[in-house]
Amino acid sequence: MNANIRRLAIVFTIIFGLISLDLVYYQVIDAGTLDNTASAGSDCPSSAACFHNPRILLQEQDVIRGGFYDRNGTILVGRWRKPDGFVQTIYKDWSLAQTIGYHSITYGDSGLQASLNSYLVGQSGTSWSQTFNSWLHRPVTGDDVYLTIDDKVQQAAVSAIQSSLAENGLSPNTPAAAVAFNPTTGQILAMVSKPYFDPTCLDSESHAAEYACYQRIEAIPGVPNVQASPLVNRVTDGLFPPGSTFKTVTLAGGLDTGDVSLSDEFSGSQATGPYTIDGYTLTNATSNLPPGRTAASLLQAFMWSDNIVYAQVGLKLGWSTLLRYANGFRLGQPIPFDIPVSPSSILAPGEKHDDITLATSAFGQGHDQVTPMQMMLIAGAIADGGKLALPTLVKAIKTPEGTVVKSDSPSIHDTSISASTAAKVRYAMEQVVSGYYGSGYEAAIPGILVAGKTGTAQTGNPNQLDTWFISFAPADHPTVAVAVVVQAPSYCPGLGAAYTDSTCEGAYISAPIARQIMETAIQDGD
Amino acid sequence: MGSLALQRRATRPVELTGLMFAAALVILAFMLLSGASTGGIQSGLMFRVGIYLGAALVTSLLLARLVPDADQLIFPVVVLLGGIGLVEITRLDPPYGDRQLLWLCIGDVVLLAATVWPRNINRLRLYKYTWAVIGCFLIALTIVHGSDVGAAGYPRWIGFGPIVLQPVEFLKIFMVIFFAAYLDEKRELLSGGRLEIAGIRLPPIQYLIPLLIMWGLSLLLLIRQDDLGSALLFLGIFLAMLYVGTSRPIFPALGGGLFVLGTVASYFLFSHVRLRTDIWLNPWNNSAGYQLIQGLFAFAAGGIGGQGIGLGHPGFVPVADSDFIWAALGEEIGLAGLMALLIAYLVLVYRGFDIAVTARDGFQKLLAAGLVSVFAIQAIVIIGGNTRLIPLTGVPLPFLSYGGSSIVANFIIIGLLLKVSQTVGMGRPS
Repeated sequence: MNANIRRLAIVFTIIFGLISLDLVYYQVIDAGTLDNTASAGSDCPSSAACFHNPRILLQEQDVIRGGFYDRNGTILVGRWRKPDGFVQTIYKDWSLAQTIGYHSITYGDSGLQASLNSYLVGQSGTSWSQTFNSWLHRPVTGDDVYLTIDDKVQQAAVSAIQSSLAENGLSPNTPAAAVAFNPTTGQILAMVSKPYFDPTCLDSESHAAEYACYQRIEAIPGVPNVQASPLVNRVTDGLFPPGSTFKTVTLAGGLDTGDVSLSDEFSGSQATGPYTIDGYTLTNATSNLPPGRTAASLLQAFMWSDNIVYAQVGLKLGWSTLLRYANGFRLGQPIPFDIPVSPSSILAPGEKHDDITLATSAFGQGHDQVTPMQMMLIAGAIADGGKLALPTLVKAIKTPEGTVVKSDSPSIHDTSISASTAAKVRYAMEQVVSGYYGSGYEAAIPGILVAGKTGTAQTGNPNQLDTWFISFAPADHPTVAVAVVVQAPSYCPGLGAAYTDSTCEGAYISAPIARQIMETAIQDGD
Repeated sequence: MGSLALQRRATRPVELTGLMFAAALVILAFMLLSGASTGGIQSGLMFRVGIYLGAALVTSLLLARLVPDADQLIFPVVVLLGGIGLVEITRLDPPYGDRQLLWLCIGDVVLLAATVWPRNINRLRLYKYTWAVIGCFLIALTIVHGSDVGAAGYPRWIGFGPIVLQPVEFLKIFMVIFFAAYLDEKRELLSGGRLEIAGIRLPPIQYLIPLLIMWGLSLLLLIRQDDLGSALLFLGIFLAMLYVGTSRPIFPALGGGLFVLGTVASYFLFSHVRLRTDIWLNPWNNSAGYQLIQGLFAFAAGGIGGQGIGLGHPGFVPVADSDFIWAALGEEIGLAGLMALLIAYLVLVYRGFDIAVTARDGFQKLLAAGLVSVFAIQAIVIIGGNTRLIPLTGVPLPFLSYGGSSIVANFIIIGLLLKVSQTVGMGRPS
């Protein structure tokens, strides 16, 4: 009987061991997942079987999350402690909603709220007061973030988009993106992705309130051919065909190799079309020459945005050279930034390296897919003499005591083009704005030399265009570079009789937006 | 008899040393709770821990007179478990903490009483059928006349005036005594046997009747009362004792197999059994999985070191003070604390089995092994339920959970174990 008793004891010991393993699983291995279960279960958050770890909401009350300020100390995101102890995040306005991001118990964090979370909750381990308070279970005050954003430029960008849409008779809901930076330091001055949303109500005291807020965001109307997608940051994650703005890359490549020069003449069908590549014909309509002209130099073809000529430049360069220069501008390369940036590309994976794709890609159609961030970097690299300053958004992070724990340092990279090539491209871009019949004349600022390039890209939908403008100013000593894209319909009712047709174009819609951003940045520059 | 004890020794040194360690831990736990809520020492809490430990000390001194040769490690472990349970219940719900303190003091008294009566433990076996009949009567009374005090959804309690009892807790003691007596008597018959079915040698069919009655009783509890915990507990005790008594592993295998079959059948026949199983298998997709999931959140929040007593949020877990006290403790004392408590249970279980091994006769061996199996199985059923090892079912965690019936019944068991160990002089210095 004693042997049986001992065996029974062993059986119980084994089961206790299994229980211990189970505890190790839930308390150590799976603990991180369970701790952060904001919502889980079938059909969250609408169904009854939706589980939230209520500790997350309580822990929120133990942290006074850090705020956001612009480069001059203007508060962008503050917070206040409600009488019941809940610390509410408040946004000054919504225009940085996607960039700063939301902070939500139900939906998690996005944008900088996500990428800088350890600073914002004071757990970066740099401040002793924060560490002590956390040990003593006292409320911790997080670090404050000072952005490179200049709120005046930011507001100018917001109002410029609104007024341009109104002047061209477009819906105020028309999706658009604008981004501006200092091309020598890489510091972002303004960043707008329209439509934006109210990030404040996503940070509420109950999951139900946050869910209702999310429903309101989802209900933000788009325009007939484009979904609103307000949560998407179109500056960093919106991928658009670049249209003629891409000619900047083609021109830079062609000039840098020496295969072409600005004075090269193209005439007849080489300038006006029709021009046939492997059975694919580019019609006269794509030449964009002024009335009566039948010839153009490479410079004029850039000013007037002649697709026929740039198709030929692309063919002359060949795939490998064009791709090399594109990569030099970080196209197809990851762009390190404070929030994730989708990589741009000029060749879809598995796409054939054929001549038709090469020729159309050279003038920005083809399979090119770029972010506004990418196009701003291209303008900035030309502005900075062929040096590409990587973008930064965070100027400094300070503890509640004011100690700087992280500060911005410029990161400058070489492109594939020389300074003299950059100077030639810059001259061509100046002529776009100020030259005879230049397509970018709406970006001109009296007394300031402006360089730019228009783009009007066809999308998959014949009724829908992506209207672009990239630019920098003052062209001789640039302090601001801009990229603007508006997802416009092909018909612009506001253009009226003064224009030959009513096609929406980057020249009419996006160039004035870029101009107002540059004007404010130069006036306000430090 | 007192004079006999006094002639021996007046103290039990190992027990007193153990009690000091237990007391130090319990006092520390109360000080932590006190500091967490006010930042200082609360005299009210210190008064309560004083009562608890004072009662334990008096009990120990009386044990030195009543059962001087009984095991000396069991009682300190019980005081430690009871004290940790008391601090956590006090932290979760102070009025319940006070009631638990009262029950623990009553527990000390019944423990002492159980070491006095019966004077000779073997007298218990004489009334084996009486215990069985009282047990069955209690079950029947609960099913017919019970009330649902604990909001379990089924009547599992019986009220006697102001006192409400959970009869299942006492039933387990009656059943262990009955089985110990029955199995010891019929051991030869059950081990041998000429009847052979499907290659398995079975004893004469009339001796199998208790086995079948137990199987039926377990299923009855499961189906009628939705009390899978008690069903598992009784079946587990019975099969463990059957194995110890007959040395034939085929019996527990057969009994366990039959129970599994019965459970599978109940899954298809009864919706509450089905719901319970579904929650167990996939709590995230079932709104009734709320309690279990909140328990898992509590375990996760505790991590390795715990949040600290009084500093976590175990109140989010429904019925944290009884069925989910393990999860509540998991949040506040962490994996390290829970492991220490598991070791405390193992010490208790091993001392119990040691008593069984050294006990004089078959009845006492079976009695001790059965009684200590109660603790082991009950702990496994509720802890395993908390951690999703088995379907969740509400049984109290011995000594830790809130509950008068549970505390009183478990202290009676401790008293009986000490009594058995006294007869062989386990606590006597060698």
